[in-house]
Amino acid sequence: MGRLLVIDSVDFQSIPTSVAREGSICGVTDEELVLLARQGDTSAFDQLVIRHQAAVYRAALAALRVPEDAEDVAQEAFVSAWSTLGRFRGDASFKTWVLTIAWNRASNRRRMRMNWWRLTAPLTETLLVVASGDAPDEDVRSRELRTHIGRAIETLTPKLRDAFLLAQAGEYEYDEIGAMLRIPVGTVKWRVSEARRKVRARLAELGYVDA
Amino acid sequence: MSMRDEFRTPLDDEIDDVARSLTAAPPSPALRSAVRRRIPGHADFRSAWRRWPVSIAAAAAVIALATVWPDRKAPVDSPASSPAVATVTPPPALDPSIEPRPTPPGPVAGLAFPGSPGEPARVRPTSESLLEGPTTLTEPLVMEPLELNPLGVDGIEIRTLTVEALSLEPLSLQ
Repeated sequence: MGRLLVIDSVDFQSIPTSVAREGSICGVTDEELVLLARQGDTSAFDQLVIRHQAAVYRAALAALRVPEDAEDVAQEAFVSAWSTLGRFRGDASFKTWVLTIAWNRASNRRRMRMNWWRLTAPLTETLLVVASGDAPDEDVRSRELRTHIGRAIETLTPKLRDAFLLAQAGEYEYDEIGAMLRIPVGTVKWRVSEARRKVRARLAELGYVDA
Repeated sequence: MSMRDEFRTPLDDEIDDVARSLTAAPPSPALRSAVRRRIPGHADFRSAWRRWPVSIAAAAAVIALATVWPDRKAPVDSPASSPAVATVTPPPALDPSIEPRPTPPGPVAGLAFPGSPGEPARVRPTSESLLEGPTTLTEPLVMEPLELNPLGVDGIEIRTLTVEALSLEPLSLQ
């Protein structure tokens, strides 16, 4: 088999993962790319990286919430996937497999990380950006609401928060989240619903209720 | 993916939107290139491209050295590599008052060069030297015959070493 042509001029990062998969070059599937990569075709593996780097990075970011750490974990996940590609049995999709690798590494890093303050500092910065909004004349009450929502999400337990952030990232199906967290799909759905309920309850304590 | 139930409210949408924004940052463009660098196949390819100019430069240097460097074991007759071949330069203007005097033929001392130890130099005749006739460029080296005297030992004489008696005296303080 010949090597694949890698088109560098296409900005895949600005395209959502699902669209990028549908519009993949030559209509090559992930399974075919994995077969080529197993034979040492680094261009094929490069295509897999292009397709799934956003999903892997956002999963790591959901766990760590520090962009630099998430970038490191995403790198390690892809390098590990390359080196252990021979052990990939194909029971799940390549995306699910590499997401599981990335999530395990991110969880280990989060567990071993001693300076927990880094977990909250970037979140606060993010929340400030989120709260500021795009329009300069945005309603002050809406900005405060978003800030309170962010703080309420932060106070969730890790299990609820992980499932909730992964579900809202827009990159993963419930079964992929279940594979990452090693829980059944039903449990994923329950955690997402429970996380939202707790956030709503916290907002209700602050006086935010639906009209 | 977002919750699809019948009881969604604007507050739920707001909650989901904030949660989505927490992981909405795209990966940096350096992620892909960093992965490429860390994959061995890519690394070997890059290093090979880095190595081949060095290899060519090294080969060119070896060839240049082999061309320039004198071959010590080359035959003396080889005009390209033998340092023993010399050309005769035209002599300076001679004084016309001096009559040329024939030089009796004698043994020609060999000019020893570092490249050909003990081998006489060969002089390539030029057009001028051919016109003027045979000319001896070197004068005979006259050396006194060496006399070899054997190194002899006259004799061995054993002499007695006399040492005066040591006297021990107590140290006394004044």
